[in-house]
Amino acid sequence: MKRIKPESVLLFYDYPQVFIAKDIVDLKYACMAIAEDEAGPIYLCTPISKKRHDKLVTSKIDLKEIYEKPEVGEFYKSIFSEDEDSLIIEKEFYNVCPSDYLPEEGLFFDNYDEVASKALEENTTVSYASLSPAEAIDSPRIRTSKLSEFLILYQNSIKYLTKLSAKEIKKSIPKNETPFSTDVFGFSYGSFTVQIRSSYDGDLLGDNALLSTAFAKLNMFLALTSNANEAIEYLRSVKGHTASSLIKLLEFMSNNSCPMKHQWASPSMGQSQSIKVELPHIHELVELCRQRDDLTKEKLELTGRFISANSKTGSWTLETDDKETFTGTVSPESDVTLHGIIIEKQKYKVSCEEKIEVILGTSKEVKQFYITTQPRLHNK
Amino acid sequence: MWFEELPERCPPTDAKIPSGQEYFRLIENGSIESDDFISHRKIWPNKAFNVSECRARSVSVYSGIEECRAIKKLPMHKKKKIAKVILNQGDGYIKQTGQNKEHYSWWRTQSFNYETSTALVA
Repeated sequence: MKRIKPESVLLFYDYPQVFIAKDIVDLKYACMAIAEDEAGPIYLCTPISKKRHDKLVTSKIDLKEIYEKPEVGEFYKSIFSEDEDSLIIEKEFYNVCPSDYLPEEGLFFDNYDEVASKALEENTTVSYASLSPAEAIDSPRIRTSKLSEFLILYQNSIKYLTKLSAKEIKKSIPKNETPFSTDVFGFSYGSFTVQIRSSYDGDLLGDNALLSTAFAKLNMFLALTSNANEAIEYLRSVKGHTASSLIKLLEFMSNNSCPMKHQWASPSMGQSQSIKVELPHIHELVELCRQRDDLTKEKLELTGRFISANSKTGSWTLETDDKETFTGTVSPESDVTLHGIIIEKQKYKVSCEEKIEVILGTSKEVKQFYITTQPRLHNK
Repeated sequence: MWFEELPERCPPTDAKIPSGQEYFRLIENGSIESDDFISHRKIWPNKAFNVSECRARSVSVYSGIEECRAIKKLPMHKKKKIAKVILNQGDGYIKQTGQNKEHYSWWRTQSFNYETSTALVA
């Protein structure tokens, strides 16, 4: 018994009336409801190539053509299996579609949402990032270094937006979990489109809530880029690493003259959310961000013992009570001196600013700490 | 209150109370019956159609008549009629669902009166 699984619904009315399905070897079928009985709707399915599928879902051919001029003269009757999301198909004896089953002319589909369909197919949250660098004008290509840089900066933004989403709902992310982790699962036309999905399958609703919220936040921020003041206000509200990661993404677009369209969907959404950013707005915003050093600094309070402190160079290493080691320098903008600091024997409370630099190529993060106020003795 | 039993948190929180808007739906025969407004879950209780349980218990309506005309191009619907349905406060909740912007899921209440709120239009 052969089975097919619905991939995208082209016409829904009480239940799927016309949809695309695929079998276990990824062969696509167009399926259309032709009758109902006590067991449910009965569908007539016929195999279609990727090329023909693309024409059908972009209104270049109508449904009648699919059935009247099938690529292979094969037709299958099909019903939804009980309590499952797949269909059982059985081959019919005819190789020409019976006229009673032919749809009328002019049934076109132009509501196809590839991203929403992919989310259903992958059963997890997905996003498409369409990049438009100069080299992608005539053909879908992009410099390797540019793509690699984008992916690192994009993943980094998603990571901090996910952490921000968790913080907002007072949910902690355990150290061994990475709900922000994404995989590239394909590339497609449309400038240069990177297809990205959660590294994990969705929950019972097919959703990965924190990642979905992060994608929604990214789109919300990208929408704000058309109004520099509102975008700056948002960056000011999130501050620190989140703001820093978003600014770096903007800098990537600005430096590479690479506008971006970002589209995402989770399986439960039904349709994707999309935003397109324009380069003139990005250039303006990046210039403003460069004048706002306060946006990217993350404030930190450390309590522990200095292992080393060099009053000439301003460099220091401090070990906290839970044995975590921090290394940094004195903030060049401050009057802090390390002269007289007692090494190891005295506990201090230190106010720092933390900056994170992402090393492109390895995507490793280097944290830099700057002491901003004179270390205070801590005798508790 | 609901015409059909609904699962928890259904209708979804972003579903709206209608206020006299006009929708369209296919009708099985020449006269409008209550059974023209029931969900697929009520007809086939054990069928899964790759949609959420909440949506499975809704009734499809379109905000434009052309969408109903398009469905009539399918062989199994070509003989059906099109009815205009006016949905008012108290008739249930409604929410745009799916990729077609004119498709709505309607969760019907028992107080919906199909005799006074509908009319055949095509």
